[in-house]
Order: sequence, then structure tokens, then C-alpha cells
Amino acid sequence: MQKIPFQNRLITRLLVSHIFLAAVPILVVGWILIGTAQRSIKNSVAEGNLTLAKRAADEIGLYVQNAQGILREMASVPSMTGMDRWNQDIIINNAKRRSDIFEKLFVLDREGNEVVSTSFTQFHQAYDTYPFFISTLKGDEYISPVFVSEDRLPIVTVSQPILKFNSVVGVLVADVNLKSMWALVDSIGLGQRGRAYVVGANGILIAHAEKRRVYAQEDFGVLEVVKNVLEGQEGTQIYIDFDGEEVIGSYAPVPMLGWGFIIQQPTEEAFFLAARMRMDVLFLIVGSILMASLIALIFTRKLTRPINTLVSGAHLFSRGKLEHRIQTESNDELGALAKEFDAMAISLLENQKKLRRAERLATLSKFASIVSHEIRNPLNSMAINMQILQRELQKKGGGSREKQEKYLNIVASEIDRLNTLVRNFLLIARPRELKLSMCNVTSILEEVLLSQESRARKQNVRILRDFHSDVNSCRVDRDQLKQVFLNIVINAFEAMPTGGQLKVFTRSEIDRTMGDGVEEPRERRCVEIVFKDSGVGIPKNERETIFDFYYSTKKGGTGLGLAIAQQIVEEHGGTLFVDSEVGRGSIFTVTLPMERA
Amino acid sequence: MQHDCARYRKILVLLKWGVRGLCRLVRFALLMAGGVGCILACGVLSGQESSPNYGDTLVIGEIGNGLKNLNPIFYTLDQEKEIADYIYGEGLISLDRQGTAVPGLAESWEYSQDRSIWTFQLREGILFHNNVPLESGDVVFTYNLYRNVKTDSHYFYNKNFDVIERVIEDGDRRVRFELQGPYEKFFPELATLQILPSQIYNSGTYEATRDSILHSTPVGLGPFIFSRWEDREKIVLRANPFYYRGRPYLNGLSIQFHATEELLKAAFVTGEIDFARIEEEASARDVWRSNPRIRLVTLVSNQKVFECISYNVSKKLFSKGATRTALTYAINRVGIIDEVLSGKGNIAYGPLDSDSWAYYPNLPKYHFNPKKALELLNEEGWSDIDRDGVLENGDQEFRFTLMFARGSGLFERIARIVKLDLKEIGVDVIPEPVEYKEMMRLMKEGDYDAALMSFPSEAKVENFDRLFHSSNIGRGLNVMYYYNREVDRLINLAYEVSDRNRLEPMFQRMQLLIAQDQSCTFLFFRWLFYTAVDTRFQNIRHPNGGLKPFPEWWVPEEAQKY
Repeated sequence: MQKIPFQNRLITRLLVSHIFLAAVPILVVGWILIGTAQRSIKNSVAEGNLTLAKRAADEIGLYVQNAQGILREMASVPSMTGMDRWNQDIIINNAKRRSDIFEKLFVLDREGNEVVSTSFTQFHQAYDTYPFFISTLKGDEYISPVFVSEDRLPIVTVSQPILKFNSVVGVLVADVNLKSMWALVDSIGLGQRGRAYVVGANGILIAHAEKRRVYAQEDFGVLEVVKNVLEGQEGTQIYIDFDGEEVIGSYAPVPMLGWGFIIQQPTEEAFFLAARMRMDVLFLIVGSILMASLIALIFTRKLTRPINTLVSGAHLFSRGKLEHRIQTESNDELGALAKEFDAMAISLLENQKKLRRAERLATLSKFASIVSHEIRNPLNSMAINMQILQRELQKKGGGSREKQEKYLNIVASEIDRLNTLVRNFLLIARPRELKLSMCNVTSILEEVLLSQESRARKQNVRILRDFHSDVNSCRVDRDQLKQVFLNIVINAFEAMPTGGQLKVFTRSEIDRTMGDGVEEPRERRCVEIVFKDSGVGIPKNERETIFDFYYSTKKGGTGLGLAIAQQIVEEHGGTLFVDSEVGRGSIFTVTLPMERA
Repeated sequence: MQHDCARYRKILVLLKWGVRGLCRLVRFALLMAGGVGCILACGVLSGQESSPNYGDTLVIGEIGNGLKNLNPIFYTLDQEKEIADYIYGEGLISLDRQGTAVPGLAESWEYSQDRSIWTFQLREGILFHNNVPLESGDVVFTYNLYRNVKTDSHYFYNKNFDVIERVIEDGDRRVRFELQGPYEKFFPELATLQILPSQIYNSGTYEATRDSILHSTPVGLGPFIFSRWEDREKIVLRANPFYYRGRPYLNGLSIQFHATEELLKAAFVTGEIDFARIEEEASARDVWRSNPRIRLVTLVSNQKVFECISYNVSKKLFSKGATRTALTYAINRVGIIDEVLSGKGNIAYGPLDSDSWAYYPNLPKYHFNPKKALELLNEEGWSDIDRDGVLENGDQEFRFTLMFARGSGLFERIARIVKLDLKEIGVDVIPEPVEYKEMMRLMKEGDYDAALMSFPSEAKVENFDRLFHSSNIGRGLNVMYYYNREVDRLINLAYEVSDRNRLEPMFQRMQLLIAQDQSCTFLFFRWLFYTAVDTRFQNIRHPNGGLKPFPEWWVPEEAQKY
């Protein structure tokens, strides 16, 4: 059966088309799903973070406003407005004692001189040229830009006019320590690694989860988010932070203070959900495709199996095994086709039987004519010689004894010839059963060649031998095989009337039979015996007929030698081939299996 | 049928229990296996870590920058003493935790039967930092110097050098001390003193080092060698490769001085320093929270400390006991403890806390009572006649400065509370942060009004002597200029007594007298001290007297910073 390449097989084509049809829509839908989900998750993260940033920024604003509120309240206490040093001292020291947010509180008179202060170290000094004093003296509340104290802490100065009957009698000033705000900033959490920080109007860090950065007064002004937030914008963007990590940062300006609040989170963490969803969908896609492939495989196998059965059945039919029946359970078109094939095989078998009967009849008639013809000749010859002999015997004196013997010999030889004829007929008509035994093929061959030694000499034929050592015993019928070799050798001698060369060699071969879906592939060891003569050769048109019964090109040939040889070889399960070239000689190759099943 | 049903149900329940139990058993077994695995892993890990290696520098943060002297006779600050200890190391012997003598510079010693003659055999091959070997002559020189030099260091004043008749060289690396008679404290007091190099100093040149370490580079026998003094803000020591107990693992120590506790904390957070003592719990936690590389060690000291406001009784303002008692009445000590120690302290009524064996429970308590305070002051003639808030007595207003160590957040907060409390009764307190060294000088000279101080609280005659004996006015720690003849007598007497049963009534009487006199307002006792250390340092121990960087400290190679 012809082997079909994998890519051309029906099952492959069906599978590919099925999987393609299943995968494309899944992939398209999955892709769209991932895209949409990613976008929506990213948007919601960005929005959520921004909301948080805005809220936190408001709260940080409140922190300073709260300090301002306390200050406002203190400034309105009667003992403060009375500019009573003793009581002012108590008020501001109590405020400092009660609240961590005040680094230092002090009161200035209208000239800008320090009246009282919570600081034990600094000497009273004049503040009349300081912007906070000038501004507050006009009756305005004042909040300074952030600056760093001697203790490396970020500070803002907040000042409040002390009003008495709507005129400014003094200024209450507080250095608000933003360190207390750090805890507030630290408490604004975002996931595991989210970080919040606050920058002053100049981009310098005021609060950050990593305190060392605040103490080191790191300048974050170069970050685009910081630039944006200090310009009063709010928003969310993805950028690479100072640690080289990609983060999503949301920023909002702190109201009234000109500071910026930024909360950033590594994108890896922020979009964890999106990443996980992408993975899930990818798994789903791969799983669906695998599932679809499996279903396609099962389906196509179900479809192609009856076709394969059909193909192998047809193949068996083509090889003549018409007794085979394609058994298929399918009741579709393929089932019907199988049934038709079976019906065809049945009718073919019938026809074959008829044909064979007719053929046998034809052979029989041909045989009868040959037999009658073959027998008639010696019978005629015998009749004539018997008549001559009779006449001789009737002669006086009994005739010549020599002559009598001559005619008797002729009759005897004709009887011999008849006998041979009959034996050969019998051989063909009733082939002897094989008597198999383990025999050495080489020794049989040697025996045959030895028996023909004298003829070879006479005919001037050189016999060359090349027997392969691997060629050993085979299970054969020794006598019959001897007959085969003898017939071939005689045939060779007859092809070389004027002498020549006969080369006989053996070799062992491995005969491979490919499986075809019905028969299992197998290998068997064989012996090849090759007879190569340098005779006249056989024309191409005769090559196919030389193994036919009663075909002979020679005078006196029975036309049975090669036919019998082929019959015997085939009975041994072997083959007999001929290859020939006119004028150069012929090659007869006998192939015998080493082991017979 | 119903019976069957019930039985099945029972079997089902039993089965369920069985399965559940099995699950639990498996879970437990897994947990145990995990636990054992962890312990094994930890064991392996810690096993790997246990081999110390050399390298790295420990940067110690300190508050203040008043260091003047690192020479053992002249230093007056704990900070100076600690650095000097690294440079000068041990004396002839040192004392272990139990107070037993262990070999120091001397490898062995012997003494006469009446313990009046002591001979020490020095170790061989000990080198001063200038590579000159230690000889018995150095010991003789040092002890003669100690006997003759005049110092106002309170670490030195009560050491009884008079007991030494003479110190002589007694052969190769042998020194003999001949005492006037048996002296019980010879080991703890005299034999532990640090030895100075005789070839660098003679008595005259040593005097010159009194004022500043800049005059000469300290040369000692200790584990670290003085390297340099940078801008008065940093002292650098390097490891002594020939230290007789083996070279320290650290390459060196660097001591950095910070003006305030706030700056010290900042330096810790930014990683500029590796080790610092922090006074307040809140501050310590603050630092610990802000830097994950910090290990916070809380030490419960067996040696308590009491904080007090010491009054300069030589000043007219504080000359009367009633005035001082009035001030004590006016100060809310419970409030102070709650506010600055989060309640982790005891009110002090005298120099000893209630868990001391010599504590006297019937001391006058002077509980917070501003009204009573005002009454007392009124009796003394103080009243606010001009209604300016401040009390007057004749033409004198009740106003005084309260000194405290500059940079200390704890003292600043106490000072503010005291100021506010006393303002309530019309006393104007002007808190004044002063560099500790300068503060000590001013106090010894009697040039101050009142000061916030902290003193060790221990029932030892030496402690009472140092603080309350009139002979220590102007030297030692009797900065209050306190004089009570009976207290003086009791202290002198107590020196002769070693039996606790006989000492107890003496201490109790002294406590009573001191409390009645109120030469200082006792504020509170505290015993919790906080130390922050960078986590890269290994083998941190808590020897006597707290957590100190010792030569045994080391840093794994991969964690080394300097």
C-alpha cells in the first residue's frame, strides 16, 4: 500500500483545520478580554490612588492649618492680648509641653523684639525685618516656606497677629515641626510597598517613609511628578523612581502651602491583579485550545478510521485477497461504500473462479494437444522401427543381428523418452509433496555443478564459484532443489553451445516487507543463489514466457525445465527471477528464505 | 429500623471525627517537621555566623562636645572616661562581674600575711602604643604620680593613696607595694588603676595635660590607639595590633559628638553613626522605627540613677531649708514621671529607692501641694506685692536659673515642667542649657543657682561622701555646697564599718537628715536605659554598667561598611 506522508494525511488536514477554527476565535476573544481588563484595572488603580493622594494632601494641609488654629486660639486669649509677659510665657510653654508639633513658640512686640520664647538657648533677638513679622504686623496670618532647622528637621514658621481692639499689639510665632507629620505620612499606606512622601515648594523632601532621605534633604524636584504637583496639578503617572524601579505615582498639591503630596507604588504590585488576570486568561486560552485540539483529535479519528479501514480493505482486494471483508460499523456513506466494496469483492471472486475454470480447461486442451503430439512422435518412431524389426526377423536366417539390435535400441530409447515425458507430466500435474529437511544449500549446489563437470569440459564452459560463508542450512527438499539447480544449469549450458563462462554465487540477504495496514511489517533472512552465464541471452519479449509450461526455443526441449524450477522454488516460499541481455548472457536468481514459517 | 439509622449516624459521626483527627495529626506532624527543619536551618545558619572576622569601624554617637581630657587623672566626664578606657585599658588587675580579681597587666600576685605588702608580676611583652615595652618602672612612676598629683576629678578624689607607704621595683617586671597597714579596698580601688608611660611624662609634663588633650597624644596599653581628634567633633581610635589580649576585631572606633539629641537621632537614622545611648523611650522607639538597620537594646540597669534639682545652698536665695522644701512641694513629680518617662520611674524622696537594703521608709515625702508651698514661702517673707506674677522678698524677686546639660531632650522637658510648675506659685525659673563639662565647672566653683543633675543611687559610703560630705564642696560632687555636721560625722563613721546591720541605721539617719534639709529636690529614680546599635555588629554583650562597644564586637565580612 502506498505510504501517505504525514502532512498529506486526511487526519492531519482535518486536525489542523479544526484546531485553527477553534483557536482563532478563542485567541481573539482572549486578547480583547485581556486588553479591556488591563485598561480598566489600571484606570481604577490610578483613580483610587489619586483619590487617596487628594485626601492625604488635604489632611497634610490640615496639619499645618491645625497648628495655625491652635495659634489663633492662643493669640485670642486675654492674657496674650494683654501682652502680659508672665502669662504669655505660661501659655506658650504649656503649648510646647502639650504638643510635639511646636518646635519653638515666641511672642514679638510691635517693634519685632522677642518678648517671650519657649527656647532656652536662643537669646532674644529682633525680628523686625523678617517677612513673617512684616506680613503679620499688617494683620495677616502667615505661613513660611519650609526650611531646615539646626536639628536637621523640616520646619515652617506660622505666625499670627495678636489683636487688641482690632489693632495688632504683637505677633505670636511658632516654628511648626513637620517631623510630627511624618507619622501621618507613614500611616498613609498603599499595598505592601506603596510609599507616600511630601515635598516642599522647592522640591526638597519634607516627609518620606525613609527618614534618612528627609534628613539628607534629598531634592526630588527633578522628578516629573514633583514638577507637576508643584505647578498645582494633580494626576497619576508611571515613571522610574530614584531606586530605578517602575512605579505608578499619584500626586496632589497640598492646599495653601504650595507643597506636593505624592504616593507611589511599584507597578508590579499595583497591577498585580491585572498581571494575575492576564495569566489566568492566558491559561484559559491555552487550556481551551488544548481541549479543542483533543476534541478535534477524537472527532477526526472517528471520521478517518472507517476511511482507513476502507483503504486497507481496498488494498487487500488489490492484492487479490478477495475473501477479505471490510467490516465497518458506520452506517453513513462510508459504511455504504464499504458494503459496495465488499459486494464488488464477492462478484470479483465469482468471476475469478469462473476465469480459473476456463483457464484450466484451456490448459487441459493445450496439454492434451502437446501430450498427444509428444507421444505420437515416439509412438510413430516405435511403430516404424517395430515394423522394420519385424521385417528383419521375418528375413531368412533371422536377418542381421546388428540391425535387430539397432532397432530395438531405438525403440528402447523412445520408450525411455516416453517414460521421461510421463514423469515430467506427472511432476507438473501432480507435484510431489515437499520433504523438508535442513540441508546445506552450498553442498547441493556443489553436487549439481560436479555432475556437470564433464559436460562443461566438453562444451568448453568455465564454471566460477563464489559461495558466501554466511549461507548455511535451509529447510528445503533436497532432491527437488537439486532438480531446480540442475534445470537452471542445463539451461545455461544450452545457452552456451560454443562455450563460455558460468558464474555461480551465493549470498545472504535480508528481505524487508513493509507493513501496509493489513500485514505487519517484517524482516526475514534469505539466501540468494545467482547463476550468471555468458550465453546468447533472452530477448525481452520472451523473458516473461520462459517460465511457461511447454515453452521452449530449443529443438528437442520439452519446455518444462524452467517451469518446473519456478514451481518448486515458489513452493519453497522463494522466488526465481531472470534478467537478461541478448548477446551478453542471462542472470537467474533464486531467493530462498532461510527459515520457513 | 430507627435503631439502625441511629447506629449509622453514630458510625458516621465517629468516622468524621476519625478523619478530622487524622487531618489534624498530619497537619501537626507537618508543622513539627517544618519547625524542626527551621531550627536545624537556624542552627546551621548561626553555626556559619559564629566565626568572627576582622574589619569595619564602629561609629559611636555622643551628645555634647565639651571633651577636654582623656588622661586618667584629669578626665571628669563619663564620655571621657569611656574613651580613656579604650586607650589605657586595664590596670594591674581587673574585676570580673562578681568583683573577683582577675589578671590584668599583672599575670600573678602575692601578698604578705597581714596584707600590707603586695607584689605583682607583670606579663611579658606588653607594649605601650608607642611600641615601648611596659616595665615595672612605669608602674612605680604612675603610682607616685597618682599619690602626688592634684586633681578635681571626682573619679579620683576618694581613692586612698595615703595608704601606700611606697612603691618600688622588685626585680624584673616585679613591683612591690608597701602599705601602711592592711587596706581592704586595695584591689578594687588601687590595683585597677590605669598605668601611664613613664618615658613620655614626668610629673611636670603630666600636669600640662590637665587642660586639654590637644597638649599631648594619649599613649596607653589598651585595645585601641588614639589616632586623631577632628574639628572637636570626632575622635578616631584605631585597633591596637599588639594588644596583649589579642587585636580587637574592629579596625577602629570613631566617636562623633552632636550638639543635641535630635541631631544624634538624625545621624542614626541617616546611618552616620552605629551606636548611641538614647535617654527617652519615645526617642529610642522613634529612631528604631525610622531605620530598619537599628537594633534597640533596653537595659534594665541594676544601678539606678536619681534625677534631682540641686540647689546652690551657698546662695542667699536657697540658704533656707524651708524655701527649698517649698520648691519641692510645688513640683509635680508624678506628672514629670508620667510625662517624660511614660510612668516608668519611681518618685524619689531621698537618695535611695525603696528596694535598697538601707532605704528609710519614714522620710518626709513633700507630696505635690502648691498651696502649702506658697504658705511656706509666705512665712519666709515671699509675696507678690507688685502683682507682676513673681514673688518678692524686699527688693529681691524669686527668680533663678536652672542649668541642665545641653542637648538632652529629657532634661529640657523636665526643666520646662519645673518652670511651669514653679511659675504657678510665682517663682520665675530660667532654664539654661549648658555644656555638661562647663556646667560641672560652674557647679564646682559655686557659680550657679540650681541645676538638673543625675547621680547614681547606691547605698555606698563613697556615694554619700562624694555628694553630701562637706569636704567635697568644690571638688567631688558636693555641688550643692551642702553642709550638715551630723551627715559628715556619719559618713566618716560609716567608712570604718563594714557590717550592714550596723550601717543600716547610719544610712537611714543620713537619708532623713538629707531629706529634711532638701539641699536638692529629689525628682525620680530610673533604671531603664536605651541603646541603639546597628544590626551588623555581632557578639554584643551586656557587661556590667551597660552596653559598651567591646573588643569582642565584630562584623561579618559581607556586612562591613567602613
